[in-house]
Amino acid sequence: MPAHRGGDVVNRPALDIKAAWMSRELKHDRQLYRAQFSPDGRLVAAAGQDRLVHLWNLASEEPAPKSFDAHRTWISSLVFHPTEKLLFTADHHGIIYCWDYDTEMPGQPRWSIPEADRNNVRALLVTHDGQHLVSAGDDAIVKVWSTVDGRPVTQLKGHKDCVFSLAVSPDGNHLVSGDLLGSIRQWNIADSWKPARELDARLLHTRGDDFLADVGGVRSLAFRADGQVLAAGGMKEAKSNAFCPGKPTVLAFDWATGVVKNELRIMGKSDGPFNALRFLEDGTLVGHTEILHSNSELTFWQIDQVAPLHSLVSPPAYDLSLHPDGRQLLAACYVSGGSSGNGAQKRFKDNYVPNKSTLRIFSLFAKPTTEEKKTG
Amino acid sequence: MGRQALLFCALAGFALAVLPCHADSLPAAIDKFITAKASGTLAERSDDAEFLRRVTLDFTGTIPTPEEVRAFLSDNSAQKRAALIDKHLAGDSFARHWADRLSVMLLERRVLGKVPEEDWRIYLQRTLRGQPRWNLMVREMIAATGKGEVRPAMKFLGNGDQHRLTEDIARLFLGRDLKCARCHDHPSVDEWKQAHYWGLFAYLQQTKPATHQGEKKVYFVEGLATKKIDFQSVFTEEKKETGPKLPGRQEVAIPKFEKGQEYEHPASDGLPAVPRFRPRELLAADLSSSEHGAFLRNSVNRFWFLLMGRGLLHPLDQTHSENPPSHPQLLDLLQREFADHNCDLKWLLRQIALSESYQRSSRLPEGVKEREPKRYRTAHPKGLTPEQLLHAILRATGNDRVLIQVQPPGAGKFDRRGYFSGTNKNLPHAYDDIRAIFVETFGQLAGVAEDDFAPGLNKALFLMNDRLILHWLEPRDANLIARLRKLDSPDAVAEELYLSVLSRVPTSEERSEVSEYLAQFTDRRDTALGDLAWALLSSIEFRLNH
Amino acid sequence: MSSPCQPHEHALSRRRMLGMLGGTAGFGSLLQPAIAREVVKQNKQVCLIWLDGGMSQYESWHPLPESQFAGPFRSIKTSIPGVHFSELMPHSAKIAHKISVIRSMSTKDPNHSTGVPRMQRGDPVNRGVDYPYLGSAVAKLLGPANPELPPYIWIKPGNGGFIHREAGFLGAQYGALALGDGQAPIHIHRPDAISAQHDEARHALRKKANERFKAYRGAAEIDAYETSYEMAQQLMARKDIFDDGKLNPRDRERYGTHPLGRHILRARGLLEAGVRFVKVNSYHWDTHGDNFNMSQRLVPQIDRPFAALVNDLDESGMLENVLVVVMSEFGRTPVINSRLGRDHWPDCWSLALAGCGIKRGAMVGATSKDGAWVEGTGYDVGDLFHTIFTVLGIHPRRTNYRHQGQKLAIAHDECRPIEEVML
Repeated sequence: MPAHRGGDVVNRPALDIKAAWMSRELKHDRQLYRAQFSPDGRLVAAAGQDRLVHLWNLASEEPAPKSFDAHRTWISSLVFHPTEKLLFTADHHGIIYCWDYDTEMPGQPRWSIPEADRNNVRALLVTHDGQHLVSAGDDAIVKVWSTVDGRPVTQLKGHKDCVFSLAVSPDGNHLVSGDLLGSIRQWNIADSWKPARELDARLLHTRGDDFLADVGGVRSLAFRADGQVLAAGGMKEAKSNAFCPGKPTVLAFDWATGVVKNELRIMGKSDGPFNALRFLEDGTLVGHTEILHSNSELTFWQIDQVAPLHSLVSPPAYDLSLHPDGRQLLAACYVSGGSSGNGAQKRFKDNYVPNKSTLRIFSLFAKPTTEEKKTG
Repeated sequence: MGRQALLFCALAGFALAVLPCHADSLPAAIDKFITAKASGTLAERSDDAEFLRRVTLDFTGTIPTPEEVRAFLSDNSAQKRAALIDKHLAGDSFARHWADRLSVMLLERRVLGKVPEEDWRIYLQRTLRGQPRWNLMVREMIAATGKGEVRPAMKFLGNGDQHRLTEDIARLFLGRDLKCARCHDHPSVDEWKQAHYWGLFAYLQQTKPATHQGEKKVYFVEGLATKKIDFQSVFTEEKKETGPKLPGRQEVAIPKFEKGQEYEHPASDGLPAVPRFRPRELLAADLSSSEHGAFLRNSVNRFWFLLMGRGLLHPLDQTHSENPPSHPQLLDLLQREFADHNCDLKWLLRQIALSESYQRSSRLPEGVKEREPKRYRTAHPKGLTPEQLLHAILRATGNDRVLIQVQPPGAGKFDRRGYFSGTNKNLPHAYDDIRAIFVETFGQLAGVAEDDFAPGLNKALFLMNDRLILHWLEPRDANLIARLRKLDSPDAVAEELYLSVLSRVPTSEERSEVSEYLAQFTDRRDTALGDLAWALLSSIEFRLNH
Repeated sequence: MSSPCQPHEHALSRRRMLGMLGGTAGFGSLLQPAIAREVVKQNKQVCLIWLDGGMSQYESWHPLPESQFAGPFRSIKTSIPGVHFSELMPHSAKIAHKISVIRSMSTKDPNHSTGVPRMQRGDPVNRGVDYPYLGSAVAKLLGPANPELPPYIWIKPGNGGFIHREAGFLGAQYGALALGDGQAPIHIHRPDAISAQHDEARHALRKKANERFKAYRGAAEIDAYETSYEMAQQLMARKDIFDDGKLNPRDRERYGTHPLGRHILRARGLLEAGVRFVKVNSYHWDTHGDNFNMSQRLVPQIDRPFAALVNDLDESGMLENVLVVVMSEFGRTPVINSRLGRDHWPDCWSLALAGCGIKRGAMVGATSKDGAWVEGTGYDVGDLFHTIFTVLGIHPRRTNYRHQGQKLAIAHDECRPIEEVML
């Protein structure tokens, strides 16, 4: 079933979370960790373990992706330019590429930033005005670059450990960045990116006495459309730095006061962090988390209530994207390749393969009946 | 009398002299069997001091007070040893000490399940105060559901791990260490089969913990057993199956019920329905029955071990043809008599303690350099358990009041980790905390048998440098050092010291040594007295139950 | 739930638990006293670093970035041309020429609870007895290197104590003196109220009491007890080896101030003082979840102090006689799971060796290109134990334990030393 195209606002079905259903799947034979709709809603870009940037055209019935080859390691973040046909991708070796994706087969990136981080660029963001690309990662510095040519604009220092997430307020004036230790820092874009507040999300960080490393972090950030709420996702109370299981948690901050209004929970048994959060136009928050060798969930909340509004069983997922029509949600999900589990088992010997992905598109409205399909 | 008759009498007399007959008491029978195989010079009978200390430790878990030593040594009655044994068996200390011994034997210091330690201990003590019948105790523990007054009995079931229970029950009550027989027949013991493991497991397979919704308490319930257990050796392709079956006994047929007839009581309050067929209950009854030779045999062997320091079957719990008992007929006899006397634990311990074999000295006979433990020619010294060591040190240093000390209200938990790492500079006040320190230092890790005397560097360091020990050796109230400092003559000091710590009178060499030591350190007499006491507390003579 | 025993250990004919009769030709003998003296003179020592839980070989010794199973990290050149380690091990990469790495370890047990004891015991043939852990075995076979110090010391996080269990059937005195957080047991400090002369005086009393008792009771328990006090006093006399104040601050920096760094530095001190066998444990390497973020933080924690230790021992000349081993109970799965973790993989994993009798710069064992499988037979932990005993001067086939009349091999009968790593 073809996805609705962007811009078709008048004919959009009513948002109905509880009737949400999975309308489409794009399968891939390696794990994808980032997946986003293009601003015009026609394409899906996704990337991950196989080092290629994949682009699906949703108009075709059985899309095979175009793939761009430049990265030499896992791709860790990906973001579209809001207005121009540019896609930015970054990887674990600290390289950022800018791609013209609207050409027939883009061979080379338009430009690259070879050392945007000494290691992993964990988050990318483009400001609303399209002028600046913001990146952050292992070296704990938030960096601002020109989207035109990748030239450095400024560096925002203050985080004490690696940064996982970035978000910009709806009015475009404030940038927030979240790190491993649970610190969310606010930067005043309008005032030369000066540091403003620090918000306390330390609940999302655990370092037990016998831990060898810090676990958790602010893995995702999202502003509500009215700019009044900032949601920070991760997990709390991690039990160890081995399995790293914890309680998936979202902290809903009141933006004006910087204080946590609510700590949101899930209904199911997932034990990994919220990798992605998105607000819907009606203020509903959506999040997806992870779990080991089992089913996870896609969860919806009204911010005012701690318990979820709704949740859908879904495999562990690593990214969420909201279609410009506001009615479709894309989740980059895990699919088992059949070789999971501890070794020393002969059954693996002849068919031992990596795990796979499926990009699941959820329609956030009631599934049309055959009648509606005919007339729609 | 004809020659045949004479011959008959001679033979009968010979037989009587060599083999115990029904007329012999059990202690005498024990001695005859032991003597028959001793093949060497027997040690002398223990002297009164040696006997008093040994039996007090074995039965009450501590050493006698100096008053008790004096009284016993000056008592001239012929029956004083038997009277002492009876006195101990009737006292509360027996119950307290044997609750400790049985708990360590059954649980090996594992802390599992929902029954608090305190409740479990009180339960054992209550049973031991009366007439403890071992078969009934074991039956109660295996069949435990957690209901009623005997709820603490379910401590034995721990968290309901069926494999662990199978192994524990096989080892403790059948004398078979079946840990390696889960996946295949035992690799080194031909008589122990995989089928034995799973036959036992089949009794336990339906057992699981369940929480009563209303009370929020955990109970043990049994699910519906409808079929045999499948098992397969990792070596062979052959699939086998078994229903509940004790080794060497008939397999229990799993009854078929009509639909709707399988349960006796319906489910309620979150506890499931109670089935009519309850294999664990059957196991408890069958295993502990006085018909069950393997159970009786291993039980008497373990109790013999606790008193004598070595099992007739040794190593413990290894019943198979490659490990024959040292005195098979004696073991047979003990097994029979235990059954005949309703598995009365106090009765058994009394019989063993009345024997000369038990009362033999641990001093080697003249010219003998080494013991041969399995011959019982001398008594076999046993290490003090951590609890015995603590109680003995408190008694020796005159600090018995510590036994009833509790944490003051509002004081918070005592930081034991900090005590061992040095960050907690306080001394523990509560007996429970002190006991935990002794168990941690002198005991074994959870799940490890605590059967041997195992000296260790950390234990030596503890006795040398621990602040508690030094604290107890400071003069206070009427403790040992306080009493000693009041005595002027070194001879009086020596006597009070040795009677209090080693439960005997000092030799003349020891008296001289005390006198010389005090003369050497007149400037610090109190600490010199402490040194003298410490040296005895740290000596092997104190550390062993010999 | 997987079975606790594995078939291969019962491939041999069954042995009896007791009653093994000796006397047939070809029987080994215990290490002869003359040989023992010779070995002791050379003072071979061991440092075993145990990373409990399973360090990922892809994120350490065997990176293979082009494998479909690779993680995101780079591989870096080492000091051996053509050989690469993970970028997470820059320090070890610089000294690759001093160490050897076996990449073709292939063992049977995928579980921790059974795998850890099996590995540390050398996974011997099951004879119904509890085999000793490596440290206890070496303590028994070689005795103390410095008679003033216990032969087997274990540095670990958490609690200390004396761990008898590791000695198995050898008996309690071959257990490990465990130092919690590498610290001396608190009881190593004599209370202030007791002066040295005072202490001597009270010990003299204690010894005389024991002698009197011994006169009538025979030596058995008394000697073991007396030895424990002697060892305690000797340890107290040498408590300087635990004195952090004596450490060079430069050393602290080189090894790292994190627990594993401090503990390996402590191990060096104990080796220098002459402790025969030092084991250092680190826990929580079992990264089923978030393996890459965790490896990024964990692997450097072993890389730095391990390289520092090898360099220090090399510079002081000790490396010739000290064997250093870094290992876990298994490696981690090539396949990456849904929590971005790797699970257990005994099928093909790596460990590192350096020092006594070990080649310098040998990278041993081939794997499939993707790193998932060993090419050829692979080495079991029994082979490792044969290797370790051999380089320590103990002949694994000619030396046996004797226990209750039974002769017991010190390493798995069917295994052999790994020639490719040995000088």
